[in-house]
Amino acid sequence: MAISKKVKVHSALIAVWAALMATAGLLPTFPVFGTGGSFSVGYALAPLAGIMFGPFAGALSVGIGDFIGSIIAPHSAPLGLFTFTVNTVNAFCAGFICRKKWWVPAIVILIETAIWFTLPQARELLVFSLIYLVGLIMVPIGGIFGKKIFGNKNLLLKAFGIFLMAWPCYIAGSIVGNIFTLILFETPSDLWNTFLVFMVPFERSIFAIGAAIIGVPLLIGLPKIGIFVGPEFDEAEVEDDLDAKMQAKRMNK
Amino acid sequence: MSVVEYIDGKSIFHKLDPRFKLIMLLAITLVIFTVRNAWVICGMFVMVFICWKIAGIPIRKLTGMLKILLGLVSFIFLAQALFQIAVPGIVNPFRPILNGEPNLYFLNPLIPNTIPVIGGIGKISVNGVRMGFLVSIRLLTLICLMPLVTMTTEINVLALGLVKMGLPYKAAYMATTALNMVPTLQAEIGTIMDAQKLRAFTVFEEGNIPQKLKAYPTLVVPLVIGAMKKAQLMGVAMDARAFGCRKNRTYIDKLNYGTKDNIAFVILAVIVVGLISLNFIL
Repeated sequence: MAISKKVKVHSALIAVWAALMATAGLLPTFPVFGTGGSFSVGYALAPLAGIMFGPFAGALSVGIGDFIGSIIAPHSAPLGLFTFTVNTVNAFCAGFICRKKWWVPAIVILIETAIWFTLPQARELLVFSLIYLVGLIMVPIGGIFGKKIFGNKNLLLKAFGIFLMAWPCYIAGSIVGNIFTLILFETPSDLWNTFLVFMVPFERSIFAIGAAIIGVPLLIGLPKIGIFVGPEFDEAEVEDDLDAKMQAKRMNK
Repeated sequence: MSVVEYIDGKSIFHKLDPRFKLIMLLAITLVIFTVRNAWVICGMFVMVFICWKIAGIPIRKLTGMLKILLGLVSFIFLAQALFQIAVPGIVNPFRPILNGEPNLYFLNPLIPNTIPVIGGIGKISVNGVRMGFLVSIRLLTLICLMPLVTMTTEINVLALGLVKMGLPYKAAYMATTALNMVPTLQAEIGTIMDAQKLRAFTVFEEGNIPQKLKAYPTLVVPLVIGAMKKAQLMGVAMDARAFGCRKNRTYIDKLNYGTKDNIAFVILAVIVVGLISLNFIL
């Protein structure tokens, strides 16, 4: 008899993933046009943490990792103490979107957009805010089709599945960043509506491609070394061994 | 080896309780997000700079950070200068709005409202330059604030402070473990990259963006898999020691939130209220 049990992510895995996030800034980066920023592996690892460990453990590992990153290198944290929120929201949404609960990221985007529009300047940025609408539309696409494609054996399709799931999560994360950016930097409306409206989705697409390229070998490789992470391993099958029998007995009692 | 640089010293910042320092960090960050007045923003930057001196943090650390930030600050400055709405005349940089109207510092017909950029990519407005300067100062203040806490507090004490403030012990443990893991992972990145270079794999030095993107798995996958293996071993060691089985933990270090912290708290409250008031008064 095989019994199913909910797998809990070990604290050690979360700690090590957080360390990976913090170290990601030390890996080679390349500039992303226009925004003065650059692509770091940390951006790719954020949704992968959600996909592998689930929304809460994933968000925790990414949050801790990004927070440590901002302690190690304060210059890499343009939003100061709040820099970690961007990737944390991203991981949180990714955890849900790949677990058939795409409505959670949809609600997150709706709430964030509502907060965004409470800022007076944001109300002038209707053109830019269309990105959020696209993100919202992409949530069910990622949650239903992306998840389906993700389960495919074909590696390219699997990567495309990750891309579809990760992209709206990047948008969810970027809304938080945009709220803080608008408050802190008072970025001019023209810049948002003419330049950033194209740059933000382009950048997020690059990040999502990065997540897909890195995610596929990881999700295939990790189970092979005995680390069963990912949505398909959430409900682990415990083999019919002595422990499982004893556990079943205890559950029956 | 620690990746977070702790600068040993006997300054008042070193003696303060980590909980107070974390509250200070949060409070001042919120003030930076709130205030809009140029005087207040410049005053805060000077204040943070003075605190650096008091804490005994070498100023070369600040200049090092400024060098790294130059690209981002330049981008923000240029974006503001080029895209900010031009206002006729020169706006008083310290009180831009008066009675709902732009507060013109002086109207000089000889000074043009906007200056065209060579190449015709846009026009730099005086108002934009003013905003660019203010936003850059705000960013620098925000970034210079964090080392004031992290460089004057040992990381274990900081983690203990977080636990005492209500952060679950497991989360604090994860944070300290992650911090201790960073040098190990740094070394691992070096090893993997050296191994790649030995095989004449130089995409990260010489390749273009698509090539680099394609080559990332060759660097990241061994790194992550190696790290996960370490996590497995660490997990076994933690379980063998029954990590987390007792809810009430004891700690070697003790924190004392004393009189000096109370006095510092009152001073902080006065500063925060003062800055917010000045923002509205000036």
